[in-house]
Amino acid sequence: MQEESDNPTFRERMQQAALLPEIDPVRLAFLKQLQSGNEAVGDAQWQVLLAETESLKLQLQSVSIPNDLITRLLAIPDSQAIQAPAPSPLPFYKRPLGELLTLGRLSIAAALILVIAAGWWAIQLLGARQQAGAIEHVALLAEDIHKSLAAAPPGGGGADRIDTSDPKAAEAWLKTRVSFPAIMLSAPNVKLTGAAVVKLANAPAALTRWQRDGHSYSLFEFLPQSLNLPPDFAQQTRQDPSGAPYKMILWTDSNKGCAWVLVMDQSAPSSFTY
Amino acid sequence: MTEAQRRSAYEQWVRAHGPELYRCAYRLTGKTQTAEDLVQETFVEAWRSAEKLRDPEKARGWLFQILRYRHLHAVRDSKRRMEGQPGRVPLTGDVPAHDTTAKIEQLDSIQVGLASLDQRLRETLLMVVMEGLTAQEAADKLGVPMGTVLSRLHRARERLRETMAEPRPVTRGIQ
Repeated sequence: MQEESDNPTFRERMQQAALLPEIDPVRLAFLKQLQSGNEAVGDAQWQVLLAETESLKLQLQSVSIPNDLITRLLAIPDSQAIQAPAPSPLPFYKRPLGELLTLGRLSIAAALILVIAAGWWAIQLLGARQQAGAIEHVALLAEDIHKSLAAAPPGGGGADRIDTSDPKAAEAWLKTRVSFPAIMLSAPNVKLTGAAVVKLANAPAALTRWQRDGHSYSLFEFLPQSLNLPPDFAQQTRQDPSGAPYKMILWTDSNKGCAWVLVMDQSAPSSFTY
Repeated sequence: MTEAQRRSAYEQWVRAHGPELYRCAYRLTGKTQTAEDLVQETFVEAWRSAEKLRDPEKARGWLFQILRYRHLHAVRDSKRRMEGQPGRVPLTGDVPAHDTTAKIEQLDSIQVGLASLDQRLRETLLMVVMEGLTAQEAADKLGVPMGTVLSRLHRARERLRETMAEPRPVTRGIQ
């Protein structure tokens, strides 16, 4: 669409001028031309167009103003002040406690506490499982050695060993081979049959072998940390998971800093002192 | 400018120019509520940027300029929304072409004529006749040659004359 007329007619220019403000240079220029033309018809048309323009202006101005418009417009600064951003808050350590303890913040704090508690509980559970697994592992290692020694001929087994029924001799012998003092069991009818130094998963352990009422016992003594066991745990009894007729009793003594596994037949009495 | 001076100037603008801005807004949009919103937005903008007005003598022109700017954006947004709807033709005026006869009857005859104008013609006509800008001032604000402004004025006037001469549809009850 061509917006601009390159050669407007006289009437078009008259219409345009009539719409323009009285001070408009275009209007003034047209009026000057009109007055110099001595055209009575043109002047009459101009008066008609001016009247038409005045009528148009009046019609355009005839709009009812809403009663409360001015009041509402005057209230804008106040409403804008309400919507203005709040001043920078004080540092948290200067703000009153009541302001800091909002429901949202308390909820977040509660959720964090729950998460931390759940994490702590999970770590404890995992640690307990790892500990139980390590104890089980040591118990089975000890059982294996007990079984192999039971099957070996007297004097066999290949371990560094001493065949003696004298607890003091065994104690002295072990003292030179392990870094912790070996204990000797005491109970009615119990008899030492020998001592040895063995490896429990590469950790040195003092082994003493015992007989009591026809039952064989193997007592393993070692440093708990050498087998990733806690230094102090409650006495536990384990059964062979494959159904072999042995049971293993494990315990620690924090005063001595050692741990023990006593392997015996399931039916053997397990009451001893040391 | 202190807060008190700012508020005082603002109140003066509202009282002096609020009514004429509303009239112009109504003639631009043809809807009272839209016109009120437009004027309200104009004065919100004016209050926020009051300090930008260096010459108090130019407040009227500045306010009209904000009004036109806000209206232009509203029209563009409206067209964009309409174009996003399949099967509907973008409207050229504020009075929809599919509007009912009853709604048209609620408008005065000049508003019916304005509604029939192209947006550019209507805006140019109102800038000159209502706002009182010269042809050159209108051309500068619209960014078009002055000849274009004069041409638009002529066509707007012709179209208004034709529309207002046409017999208006009348709704009658069934006899």
